[in-house]
Parts: sequence; C-alpha cells; structure tokens
Amino acid sequence: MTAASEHAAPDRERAETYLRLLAETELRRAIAMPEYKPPRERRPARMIALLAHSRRMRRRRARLRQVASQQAASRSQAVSQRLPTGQPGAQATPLPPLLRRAAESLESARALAAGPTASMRRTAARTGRRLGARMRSATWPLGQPVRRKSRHRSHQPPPAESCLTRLATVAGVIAALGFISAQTEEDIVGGLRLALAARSRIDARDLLRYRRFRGQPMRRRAGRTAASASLRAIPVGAVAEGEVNGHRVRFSLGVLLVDQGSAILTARARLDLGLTRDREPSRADAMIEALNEITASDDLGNSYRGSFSGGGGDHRWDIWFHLSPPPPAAARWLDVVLPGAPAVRVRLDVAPRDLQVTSEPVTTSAADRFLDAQTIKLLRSGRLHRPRAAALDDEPVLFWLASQLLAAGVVTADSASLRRLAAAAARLGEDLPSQLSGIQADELPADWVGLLAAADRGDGPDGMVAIAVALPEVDGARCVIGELFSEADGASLHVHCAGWPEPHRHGLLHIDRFWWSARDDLGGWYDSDDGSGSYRNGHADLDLRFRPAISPRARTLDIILTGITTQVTVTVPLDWQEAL
Amino acid sequence: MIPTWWAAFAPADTSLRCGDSTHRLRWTDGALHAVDHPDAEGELVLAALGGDATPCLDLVIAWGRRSDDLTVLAVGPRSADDKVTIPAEILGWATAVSGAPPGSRGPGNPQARAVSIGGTISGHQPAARKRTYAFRPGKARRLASYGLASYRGRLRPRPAVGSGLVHGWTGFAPGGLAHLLGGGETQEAQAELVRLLALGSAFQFRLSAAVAHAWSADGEQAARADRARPALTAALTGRLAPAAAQWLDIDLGEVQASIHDGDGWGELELSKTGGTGRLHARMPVRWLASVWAPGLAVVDQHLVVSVVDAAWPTARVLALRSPGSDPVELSIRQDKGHWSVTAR
Repeated sequence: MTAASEHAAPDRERAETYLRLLAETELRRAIAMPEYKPPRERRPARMIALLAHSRRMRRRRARLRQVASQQAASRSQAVSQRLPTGQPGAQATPLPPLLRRAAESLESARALAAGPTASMRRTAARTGRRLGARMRSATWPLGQPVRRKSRHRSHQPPPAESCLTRLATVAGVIAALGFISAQTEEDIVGGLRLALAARSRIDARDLLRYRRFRGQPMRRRAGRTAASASLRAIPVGAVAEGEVNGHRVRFSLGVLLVDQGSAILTARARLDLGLTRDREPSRADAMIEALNEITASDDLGNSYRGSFSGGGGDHRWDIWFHLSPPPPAAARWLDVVLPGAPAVRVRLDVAPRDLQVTSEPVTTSAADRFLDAQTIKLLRSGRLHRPRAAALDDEPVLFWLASQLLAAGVVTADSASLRRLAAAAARLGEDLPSQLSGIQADELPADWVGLLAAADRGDGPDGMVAIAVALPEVDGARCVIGELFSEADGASLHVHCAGWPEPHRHGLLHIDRFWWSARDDLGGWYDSDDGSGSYRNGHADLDLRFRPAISPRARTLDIILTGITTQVTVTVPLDWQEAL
Repeated sequence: MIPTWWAAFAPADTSLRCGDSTHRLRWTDGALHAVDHPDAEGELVLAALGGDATPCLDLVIAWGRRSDDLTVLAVGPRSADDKVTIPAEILGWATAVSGAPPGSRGPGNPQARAVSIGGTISGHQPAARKRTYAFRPGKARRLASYGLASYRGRLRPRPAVGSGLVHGWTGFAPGGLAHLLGGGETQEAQAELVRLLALGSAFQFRLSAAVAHAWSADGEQAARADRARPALTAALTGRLAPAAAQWLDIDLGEVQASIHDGDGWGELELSKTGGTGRLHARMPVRWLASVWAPGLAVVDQHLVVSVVDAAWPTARVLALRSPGSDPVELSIRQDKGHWSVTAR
C-alpha cells in the first residue's frame, strides 16, 4: 500500500491557501443568500410563559409580604414585652438565661435528631426521585404524540450555515492530517463564522452559544496533556450478580487503571428484561443513581467513594468507575461493592501481563489512511452517504471530500488511496465526480476483501479477555488497553488514553489522528469503527468496536494502534473468560 | 516618491458615549485619534497602572493592536456593496468581553448602537486641532496592556461527547461536565475587532487598509509576510474579484490572484476558454491599502493598479483600460464619495 505520493512532504502553504480561498468562495456564496432573521417565539407559547411567570412572581411577592408582616408583628410584641410603661428593662433581665437555656436544649435536640433526620432526608429524597421517575415514565408515553408533532416544527438552520459546514469539514480533515495547525484551522473557520455573523447570514445567537460553550473554536488538545508514564493497568476479570430497582443486573469487571491522581475501574453491565422493557427515562435514572452508589474499601482500612461515567442502552451499559484518591501503593486488595451485589475482591498486587509489544515507524501517509478508512466504511455499508439539502455540493460526502483533498494538494492523482476509492466506487457501481474522473482504479487490498467476505459472520466467541496492558507512547498519546469483549456479531475494546486529541465529527464523518485495527493469527483483519468515547482534558475513555466478529478459531490477536509517525502492536492471547 | 498609503483617504469621524458625554473619534493621516481626550497619554498611563480606560481610549488602543491583524481582512468588507453590520448580540458580547463600561456601548443602549455603526466621513480638516492621541501599531503597545482576568476566568461547562451517537444510548459523564475551555487571547482579539468594525463602514475600510499596509513590502510586518502569504492571497483574491467583475463583467469565481513581490504594479492576464473569461493577476499587497481601500479600484471603466500621487480629494493613478494593455496615468477626484477621471 505505498505510492510515490505517500512519502512526499506535506505542502502546508498550498493547503492553507486552498482553505483560505475556499473561505472566500463560501463567503461569496453566503452573501448571495438572503439575510437570516431568527424566527420569533410563537405567540401562544410566549403568552403562556408570561402568564406563568407573572403568577409565580405574584406568589413570591405575597409570600414575602406575609413574612415581612409576621416579623413586624413579632418585633412589636417583643418591644412591648421588654419595655413596659414606667419600668424600663424590668423584664429584660431574666430573658438572657432563659434564652440561653432554650438555645442549649434546642442544640441538644438537634444533635439527637441529626442522624435520623439526615437519613430520613436522604430516604425522602430518594423516594421523591423514584416517584418522580415513575411519574415521568407513566406520563412519557402521553407526551409521545406531542413530541412527534413538534418534530415537524423543528428549527431550520440558516441556509448559509451550509457554507460554514463545508469549510469546517475540509479544514477539520486537513488539520487532522497534519497539513495545517489547529490554530490555523481555528483562524480560518472562526474568520468565516464571524464574517457570516457580521453580515447576518448565520444566527448571531448561535455564534455566541458556540463561544459560550467552547470559549473559542474547536481546538484539539493533542499532546497538551502530558502522557503519564506511571499509568498502569491491573487485570480484574470478575463477574458479579447485582440488583437495581429490584431487577437483576450482571456486572463484568474488566481492569483497574491506576494513574498518579486517579484510579478507574472499567466494567460492563447487562440489564435484565424487567429493567429494559420500556424505553423510558426512569430506567436511565435508576441505573445512574445505583451506579453512583458504588463503594470500595482496601485492606488498609481506607474506604472510597467515587463517581460513575459511561452510559448504556436497553441491554448493556459500559461503566467507568472513578476512585479518588487512588489506592495507596501499599494496598494489596480492594473490595468493590456493586449495587445489590456482594463485594468483589480486586487484587492490586498481581504482576503485569507479559505481552509482546512492538513499535515501528508508519509507512503510509495520514491522508491515505484517512481516505482508506472512509473507503472501508463505504464498502462495509455498501451505500454512499449523501448530504442533506445540498450542504456538500450535492456530491456524496466521501467523493466531495476526496475532490477537496485533491484540490488542496493533500493527496495527488496517483495516491494509492484515491485509486482504492475509485475501485470501491466501481464495485458499488457509482460514478466518480468530474474532478476524480481521471483516477485509475486499483485492486482492492486482500485484507479488505477478506473483511468484506467475513462481514456477516455471526459465530464470534462470547467472552472477555482482561488485557490490561500499557502501550508505549505513540505521537504524544499513551494508551492503556483494558478488556476485550467478544460477542457473536462483533467485539469491543475498552481503552483509556492520555494525551489523546478529541476527534472531529462532521455529520457522519469521524476524523481521527489515530487508527485502531487488529489481525488474528489466522491472518484475518479487523477494522475498528467509531464506537463511542468520552473526552476530558486530553484524557479519553474509548469503547472501540471491531468488525467483523472475531474468528472462534483464532488463538491470538494483534491489536494495532497507528499514529501519524508510529505504529504499535500488542499480541494478546485469546483466553476467553465468562463475561455476560 | 511613493505617496503614503493613506493619502487618498478622507478623514472619518464618529461619535460615541464616553462616560456621561458624547465624544468624537477621528481617523486621519492613517491613525485613529481620541479628539476629546486632551491628556490621552496621561490617561493611558493611569489605565496601564490599573485605572479604568475610557471607551474612546479603549478603541484607540484596540485600533493600534488590530492594525496588523489578518483577521480584519478575513472578516472585513470585500467591496463597497458588501455591508458589514455587526448584529447587536455580537456587539454586546464583544463589549462585555472587552470590559468596556456598561451603558457606554452595546445593545442595552440603543443610542450607543446607533452611533456605533454610524461612522461619517467628514469633508474637511479640523480648523483648530486639539492635542490628540493617535495609536500606531508597535508604538504604544508597550504602554498599555489591559488584563481581562475576570473574563478569562469565566468558563463554561461543556457536555460530554460521543455517547449520544448510538440510538437508545444514555451517556453520563460528570467528569466530562467539568471539561472547561477558556476564551483566551483569540476571544479578546475578536471582541476588539468586532467593536472596531462596529464603528462603521468608513472605519472598516481604513482598518483593512492599515492591516494591508502592515503586511506590504514597506510595512512593519514585511519580514513575516511569507508566513502570511495564504491569508494575503485570499484577501487579495476576495477583493480583486468584485473589482474585476465590475471591470470586465466576468464571474467572481473566475479571478485567480497571487502576490506580486517585485517592483512595479504586477501583471494581469485574461484567458478565455469556451466563452468564459478567467483573469490571472499578480498584484502587490499594497494595492489593497492604497488602491482598493480608498475605493479607487475601478474608476470610469479603468482598473487602477497603483497610486502615483495623492492628496485627498485628488489623486494621480496608473490604470488599465483592458487586460494586457499598458497602464495609463489618470488624474482623478473624489466628489460625494465617488471617484471620477478629471484628466487623462
């Protein structure tokens, strides 16, 4: 998979010039569009809101008046008691001791009542939440028709928004491929955004909302957070039966990731039918509430409360349980109490797994890898994603993007990835746009053909491998692989990363600087799709999905992380443990 | 002798609320002046020491800081028909970020908004000049650096990413909610720029000219111009295209411009393929400052390529009648905002 273009130095000036000229073109297009006038709030909704507000304010005023009149009455009473006619201060003398005694007895009563009251308060709050959740779930189906109806009246973005989308998409890809810096991308896209807002072509309120949440345009934080060298992973690989809201939940604990300032226990939960029967909000509330009550204690007598992050759907939840502070180095084990389950002992003194890890330089260009990833996705889905309402010049998104990258000099006409894209288009019977019509189609790589042939495989093993291995640094990012879950139709891998840039997303387009793939000992190749993840301050928790399902005959799996310059491979024996 | 870049510009005035009174800002001789602040330097020193900067001086300082900011060319007008009118919401945000005194500007004050976008071009020099303070890039930058720590620290939560992609998926990440992003210098710079653009069309063109001059061969940023070549190429293309379209009646997208580094005014070539004309131009960056910004780009069917001599409201220019022809010298004059040829 190499071509002459793949090793060429990126022409940054050409790429930046192309983007800035594209911004000019988009601005010109937008200026030709009508000015955007934000829709007014509907009159009935406004009237109802105003009435409700005035009623609320009336009630508050009445309450304030009542309190004020009560205070005034009590004050005047106190004054009349303290200062009887002719004997100033006669009854004031015995009052302080009386008051003191009353305050003391009040204090002791409060202390006595504090414990039970607090627990009563907590119980009441919990009951209230549960009742609220039940009420929401009861009323939720009633709101369905209204919601369905209101969907038709959804907000329509200003037409010029598509100009910004086009530029942001191309700039995001070119920046992710290292042809321009994140700062330049911000300058270009932010410049057009402000230029459009200053000409009333986009909603100025959107610009401000964008600023409020982002502070400034999207900036990936690659390499900003130093990848921690002390990050270590401890395999757990235990299963526990728990209970949430009276329903059975099965927890499968993966690994414990310990860093300098934090510890994360990864797990997966499978919900029984009772909890997942209805698609209603209380299910999520109950799970979140229960997962936030997970506690742990160690052999040194320390106890831990933490917070939960992650999420799930109807049947399965992925859980990252954050313990803070992390267990001390001297601790040998940790007992973790999951909702409705007996304590699960996590050994902290187990030796790290001795897995083979290799690191080598990357031989293909980031641009080719990006286009290849998109082409594989196209082949797997078997259909081209077309843009909404002429947002991307009416071309299928991938073809449009490839044309833009070619025009920007990011790929050349003889790039291997473009030839493979042409082959994929031919396989799907699609015509390439005129800008790409001169590209000669190449053969599809054998790996891709194998992947497509195995796409419908449904015989993947059911189980989990607690891998728990820290990879060497790859282009400023350090990753710890947690556990690999395999199911009949695919597999997923939990990875925790430091120094990890937040990926760009433009519609269905997912732009990453790193690629994950895998190869088994039988030669089968696996590609990872977007999966999901959460990102925070350069740290990321990824849940990668591998397709197709892992071959049941495979004995080892090479998991491969490819960055811009370096590629790391770890070989994992597939000793499946019972999971869910 | 090459005339100064501002020689073909008329002075421009605007007024704004400054404290309890209405003050004037005047642009003349390539700089912005706070006319009603006789001791501007003293006020600036006080402000630098922690005192309050007045809206007038705040804008004068912002003008100096943005006089070499290429974002001005990305956001500012492309032609006289391209109206840049800052919406009230954005101006309010910019005023808040810049820390200008409340009530002096912004959407909460309709009068302030009215004057803020109503910059006027005055047709005469002031009879008796007061002592004024003008801010030029590179000079007073050392004088005043205004911290905006109170705004830098105001950070907002951001929702967790990614978990909502899968249908039926509930994401929960309290850690993610703590992910805060700061505004930083980019936000302050853009807020300043917004406030300057809100001064009105006349000031927008003058600020664009100041930036183009700073990045031209005889400007302060000339040594760094190579790094800014993509931005300057786009700025030139975006402004030459409307002028060329007016001159030759060609499509705006059919203009391809690049930066001319050598002596002379550059070169122009019109190629025709299938009945469509495409203009290839190489022009110096100073064309933006001395020709385009004062509104000289197209005068009586001629494309002006350089200014030989100017003293507003008259100028002598080199202009092309058609692509490929030799430039001719024209004498032109501005009357009621419109340039016309007075002698060939």
